[in-house]
Amino acid sequence: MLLAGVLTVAGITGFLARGAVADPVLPPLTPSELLTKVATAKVDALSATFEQRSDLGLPALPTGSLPDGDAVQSALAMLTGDHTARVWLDGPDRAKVALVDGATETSVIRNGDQLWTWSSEKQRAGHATISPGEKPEPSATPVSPSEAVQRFLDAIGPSTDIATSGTGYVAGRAVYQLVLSPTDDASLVGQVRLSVDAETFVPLGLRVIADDGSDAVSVAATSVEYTRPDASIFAFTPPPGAEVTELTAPERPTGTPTAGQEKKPTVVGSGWTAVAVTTVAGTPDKATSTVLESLPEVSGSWGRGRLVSTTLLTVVITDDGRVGAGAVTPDRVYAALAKR
Amino acid sequence: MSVAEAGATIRPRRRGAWARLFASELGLVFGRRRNQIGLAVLAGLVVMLGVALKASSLRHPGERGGDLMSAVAGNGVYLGFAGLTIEIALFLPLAVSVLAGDAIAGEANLGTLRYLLAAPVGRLRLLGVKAASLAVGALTGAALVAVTGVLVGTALFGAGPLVTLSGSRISVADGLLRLLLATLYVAAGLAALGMIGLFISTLTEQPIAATVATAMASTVLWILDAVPQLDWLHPWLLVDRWPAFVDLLRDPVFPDRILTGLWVDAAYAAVFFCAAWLWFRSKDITS
Repeated sequence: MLLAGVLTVAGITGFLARGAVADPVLPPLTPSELLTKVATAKVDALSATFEQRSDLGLPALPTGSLPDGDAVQSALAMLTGDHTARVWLDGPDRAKVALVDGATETSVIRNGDQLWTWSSEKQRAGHATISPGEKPEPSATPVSPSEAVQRFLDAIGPSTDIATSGTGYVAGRAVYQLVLSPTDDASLVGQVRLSVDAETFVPLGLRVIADDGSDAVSVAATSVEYTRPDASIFAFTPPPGAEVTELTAPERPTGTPTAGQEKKPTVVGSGWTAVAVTTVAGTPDKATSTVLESLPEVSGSWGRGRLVSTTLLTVVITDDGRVGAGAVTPDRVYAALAKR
Repeated sequence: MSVAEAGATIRPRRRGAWARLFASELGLVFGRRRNQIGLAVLAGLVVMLGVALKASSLRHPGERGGDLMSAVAGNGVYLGFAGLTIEIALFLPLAVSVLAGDAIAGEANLGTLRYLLAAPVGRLRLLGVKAASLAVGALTGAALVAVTGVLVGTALFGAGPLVTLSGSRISVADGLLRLLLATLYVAAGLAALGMIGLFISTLTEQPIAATVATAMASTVLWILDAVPQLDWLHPWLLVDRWPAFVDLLRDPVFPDRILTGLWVDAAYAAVFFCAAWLWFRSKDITS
């Protein structure tokens, strides 16, 4: 019996210590070499599970006050809490991403020229046909991957310390770690750490660490296999009774913006400490004002308003309808608002 | 220690003794009137759920949401899953708590525990038999809910290919296989709760106290699991992955959470069975 107890304790200790395995020894790479390898990485097939954890320190909003099924609400839901996603890739034109939270499933499936979206909660499927030759994303001027990486490094170089920082394991695979740290103290982002598979150079993890040292966002693979997924995974037929809508690409807005639409934001500052300032037209509805009134009030030479302060983001909504937002300390947002 | 060892050597080593003790224990558990009524309540709740869903589907035909309850209206087999969903948080844990309260504390309360031990039965063997009968009880409860669900659901809504959460269709046979796996998974979690109950049952001679304490332990675990500020603690809570049996309704099946859940169940069961043994081996049996 004592033996069973000892085994149990040993098992639990082993379970806890699993993350404490010595880091793998890998040939050293400079940040630019690593990023070039990531940019040129070719992955034919993959089945993986990713977990996202967010702790943005958002104030708990009274969810009942937000309109049901609102886009804002689903965006907030995505930004907070934990999410699990299953990802399958097979070649360049077959992919499936399924969000498997709770007893629901939301997925996007691409099978050749067929694109499907599925929501088990709403029992709703969306369908689109990708015309041949059309790329899902418009590509910019073609540049070689190493050149693109160099441009990226040059662009972020002045405001960022870039380093490859050791190695580790993600989902049981040896990874390189790339660390980006903003040099400006006003930034709320402490570090961004990217974990890259040392064999396939597929990014397996991303952590955004806030200035106070807490993990604000972390996305990491919990399992990954580079084997070809079963073809049936990419086959989707809407189940009977489901509502099927034909998806159309959103049309570009033409002419004058309608009332209530936000104007294009002006950006004050650059890089990590950029602050976006925009104006919201119209008066907020009752639900929105209830939420606003629950926020702390701030004022200064720039005016008066409400402050949303999270570990990673500061938003100031002024009484005259201006909104300043950035991953910076509130002082920087006040300064940006004062410039107008 | 020495007394227990001495007992182990004197005790006749017959395999039949184990089976006889286990059979008589199961006979006692299933023969108790309150346990029979408890099982009837578990089944009755599923019948009630089925009838309520039928009534609502007659009143609002064609309306269909995406949750398990709405899926029942399209396919009776889903009532098995829906039944497990509504009973997993309160009624099934309560049933296991009742059994756990009776296990040791009940015997002590009736004064039968010392007679059990007076027979050449080691304390570890007795505890093992009690644990096994709790596991059988957990499986019976979960299976009864699932089977009642399928029967009532099929009678009220008919059966046919099931639509998975991923939007694909699977055959009835595949659906029933997945329901069987879900039942076993739920039973494993309940059996682990039974080990917590077994431990509590060795601490007291009042079966009601042990039952209430076990039910409270389960409720506290559910409450802790619902507090978002404690999300760091959630993976370590016994009940956290219990509802993960719905992952069997995905296509392909998503095994990750279920497998982790089984490890958590096993860890809780091992720790609390050991704790129960450590307490029970040196306990003064006065009644």
